[in-house]
Amino acid sequence: MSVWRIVRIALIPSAAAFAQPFYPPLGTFNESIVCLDQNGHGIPYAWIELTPATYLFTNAHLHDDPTHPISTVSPLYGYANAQGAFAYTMRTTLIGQHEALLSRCIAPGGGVLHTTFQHRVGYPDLFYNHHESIWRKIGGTDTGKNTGHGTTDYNRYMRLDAAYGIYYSTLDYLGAHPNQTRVCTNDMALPWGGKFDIEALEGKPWRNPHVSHDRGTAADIAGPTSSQCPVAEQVNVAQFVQACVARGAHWNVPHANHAHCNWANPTTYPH
Amino acid sequence: MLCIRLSACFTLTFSLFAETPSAVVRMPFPIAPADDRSMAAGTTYFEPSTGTLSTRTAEGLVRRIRLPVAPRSDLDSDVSSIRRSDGGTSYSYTYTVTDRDPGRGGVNLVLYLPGSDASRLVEARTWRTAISDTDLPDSFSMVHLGRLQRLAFRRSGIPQQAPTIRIESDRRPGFLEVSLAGVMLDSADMESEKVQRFLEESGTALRAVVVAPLFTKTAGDREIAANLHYGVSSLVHRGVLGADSLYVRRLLSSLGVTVESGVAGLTEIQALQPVTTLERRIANQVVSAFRGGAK
Repeated sequence: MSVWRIVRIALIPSAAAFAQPFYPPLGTFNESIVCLDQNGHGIPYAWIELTPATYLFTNAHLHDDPTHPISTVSPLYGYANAQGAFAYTMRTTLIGQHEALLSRCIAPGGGVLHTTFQHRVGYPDLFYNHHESIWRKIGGTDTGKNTGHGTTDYNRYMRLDAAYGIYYSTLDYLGAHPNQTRVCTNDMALPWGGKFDIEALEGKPWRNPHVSHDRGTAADIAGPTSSQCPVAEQVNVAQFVQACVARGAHWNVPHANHAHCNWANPTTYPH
Repeated sequence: MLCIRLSACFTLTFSLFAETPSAVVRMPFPIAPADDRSMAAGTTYFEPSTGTLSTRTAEGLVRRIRLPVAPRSDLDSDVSSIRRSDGGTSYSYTYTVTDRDPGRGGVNLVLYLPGSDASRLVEARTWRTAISDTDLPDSFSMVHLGRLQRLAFRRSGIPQQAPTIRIESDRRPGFLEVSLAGVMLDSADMESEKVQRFLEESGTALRAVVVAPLFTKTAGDREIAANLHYGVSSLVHRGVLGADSLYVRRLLSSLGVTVESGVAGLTEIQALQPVTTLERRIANQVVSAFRGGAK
């Protein structure tokens, strides 16, 4: 039994759809590690050790600190069963990020094998969303303050239904305001979603506010008094929200200086 | 490695199998119950004791297929920068799969690359190549609703020589995880295409981090530094780079500073002293990624 490998068995909704599996934030997943010999057979009663880890600066979190959350695994070690399977539970963090599960398998015969399983925490259905002809990019380090997430290009990811929703809402609004050619957009979601911790550099990393922007279903459109958007491209907040509602947005929050349109109820996703 | 015509030339090489054989395998299937009658119809199960997948049809029939053993292969990925006659820079990426045990069956290398890369040219003579669009988001390119393309290179026979896949692109190098899977030869009863995709993307595939054409010329230093930080960290996790290497520690620190400050500390990074051959290759790649090619 000198040649063997480790198998990780997981029930992940989006695992088969991507080169690397995605786990939704704040989820619980029951999985197994199996050590296989060179013939693909499980090694009974192998000793397994697991160590969860995270990669820094992924998913546009261009900041770090000692409180950086990592998904948890329990138990962290133990013997495999007679089939060679070691069951454990992984609970993902709220943070969209690149993570790894480092494993060590010790066969009863003494051989040791280290294997790294990589995965992402977040959502695999968020697309970069910017249409230059009707939207001006504001926010991020381009026109706003540094929140620790780079330029506004890093927070322009949306689920397709919401992306089309904000697109057609904009066209409807511009159609009703023929003297206006563009509106200013900002703060959709990070590339894989998850906690968009806009106060990370203000002593509040990895946490709220900004709950509506964790799933890629919301966007902000600049209104009067916005210091980042030219006056000619600012919107009438009430009228733009009305355009969003007509295109299916339901969970809108009134703000004085921007229209906030959300195509999903924040209570339906972790935040 | 050949460096003809190249103003800069470097190689990133690592082995999927070091002294201790290993494979990264992940299966989204539950473990099969001891009694076939306990299987839910239409659900696929994995039996670790025999290395098989099994399903129970609506009629109560149980079908089983043996998973192919993961290939025992080395995967080398290289990147070289090419100064074009128009003054621009292109990159030549090569992927070489060397079988240590060709009798184990075919291999299938799968990469997901930005679909908006119009400059990409693929040359893979001894491989059956399939390039297809996907619905997977591209988070590298900043292209409106951009998606990834799936590049699958399959080889069933025993190669006469180490076959190389070459991709030329204007995209700057970054790190990407790819899969190298065995080929399912007999899975007619198990929705073979679905099972093969499973094997390639999340199943019994080996996984490796390689250098690949990812970043546009307008990509920011912070975006690139973040990716390089991930790639180097990943190679450390996999034991390819030494965690206690002074060069690696300082490189990660410099990349971290670049990510957080937004300024590429090229001078500082260039002053770092790589020791091993692989470290020197990594050093060249880091500099090239930031500069957009040798000047």
